[in-house]
Amino acid sequence: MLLLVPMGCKRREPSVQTGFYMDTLCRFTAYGDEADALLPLCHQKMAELDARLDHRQETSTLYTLNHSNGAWTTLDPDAYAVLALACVLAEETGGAFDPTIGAVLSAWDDFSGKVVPVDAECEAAASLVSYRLVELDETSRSARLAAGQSVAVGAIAKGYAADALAELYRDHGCTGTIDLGGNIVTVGTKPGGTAFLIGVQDPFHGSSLLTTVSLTDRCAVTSGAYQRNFTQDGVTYHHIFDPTTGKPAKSDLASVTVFADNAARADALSTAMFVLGSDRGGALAKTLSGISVLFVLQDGSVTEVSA
Amino acid sequence: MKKPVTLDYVIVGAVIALSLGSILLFVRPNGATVRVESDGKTLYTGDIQTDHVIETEGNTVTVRDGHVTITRADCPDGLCMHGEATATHPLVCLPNRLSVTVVSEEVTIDGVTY
Repeated sequence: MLLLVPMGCKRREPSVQTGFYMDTLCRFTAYGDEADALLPLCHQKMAELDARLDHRQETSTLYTLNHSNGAWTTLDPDAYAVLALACVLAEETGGAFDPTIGAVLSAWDDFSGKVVPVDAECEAAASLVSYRLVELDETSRSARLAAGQSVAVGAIAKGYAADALAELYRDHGCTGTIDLGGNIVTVGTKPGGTAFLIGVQDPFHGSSLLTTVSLTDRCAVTSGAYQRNFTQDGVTYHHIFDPTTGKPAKSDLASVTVFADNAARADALSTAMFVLGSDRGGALAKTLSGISVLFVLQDGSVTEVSA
Repeated sequence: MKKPVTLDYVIVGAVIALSLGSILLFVRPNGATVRVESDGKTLYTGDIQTDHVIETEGNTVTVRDGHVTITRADCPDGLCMHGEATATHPLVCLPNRLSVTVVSEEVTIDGVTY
């Protein structure tokens, strides 16, 4: 945990702290009299959610669920909320985003870069992916999977966490930005009422921005093949999997950025849009309310769709 | 009926601009500070125009001619050695929990989605 800028009462400069959670660099920038009190709580919240939403950690209830052999499993409140929301978003995206992608990730050794499964293994793993087979019971806060299924909520967890932090900001009367590895949430405005200026990274030139947007109480989440990948035997594999094939999605997109009021939704939708590609993703975007989507195609062209 | 939001106009403007030529903002301002942090500790802060080599346990960070790069990484993938740190784009070595950021008052960007 790093305190980069000390905060005093009524100062117009933000307090900024960074930390590593959910396998990424997180940056909390807060304006307000209670910013000093807020930021340690942000670290605490991130550590808690990191532990709860990582299916690889044996202490998490998602790990227990994945090893329950189809038995009902009680989840902690966050794991249940994420899984329930993920199933709703899976339905909304026709399964292009699916929280039961766990078997596919396992086949790829959690994308360690050391394992490339053969086609039959990918197909076998993909056959286990279906959010429709997940049973949820809100009263007991429990879930049950079909035999062989496992969940992995990495494609929505950072968004969910960002939303939780935004709530903390509001509870403390603070405005600012939350940056969880490029998942951006803006809370309110800067002192003086100006919106936050958020850049969208150019997927072809990592040090450059494609464009900038002014955001107030909005989120921006990007998915792109350039973010995490590895090369083996001359073939480059990226980390966004197509639930229907069990392999990295063959998308015509270089990146897709979703703007929405809710970061968890933006997070899941950006994954789904990438998997679907520009045509089907664009068609889906037109049916969803409250979002704007920036598609950057592999050929360098850019299109924008607003619902 | 969708609500008209500022974002729509901004993005439409950006798309028009992109049709005329890609917006490439190389943000490497002169008056900027390089900050190297590792797992809770600030290891180095210095002017971007001052050449410097910072050795950490797992990485080497090189500041030369206004460019900031990670030139050594003992982790398996070495992903952090691609590209350079700018005011809008930190370099991160996740295995070593190292971040390299460029802080500039000239750059008014509040965050970057990637």
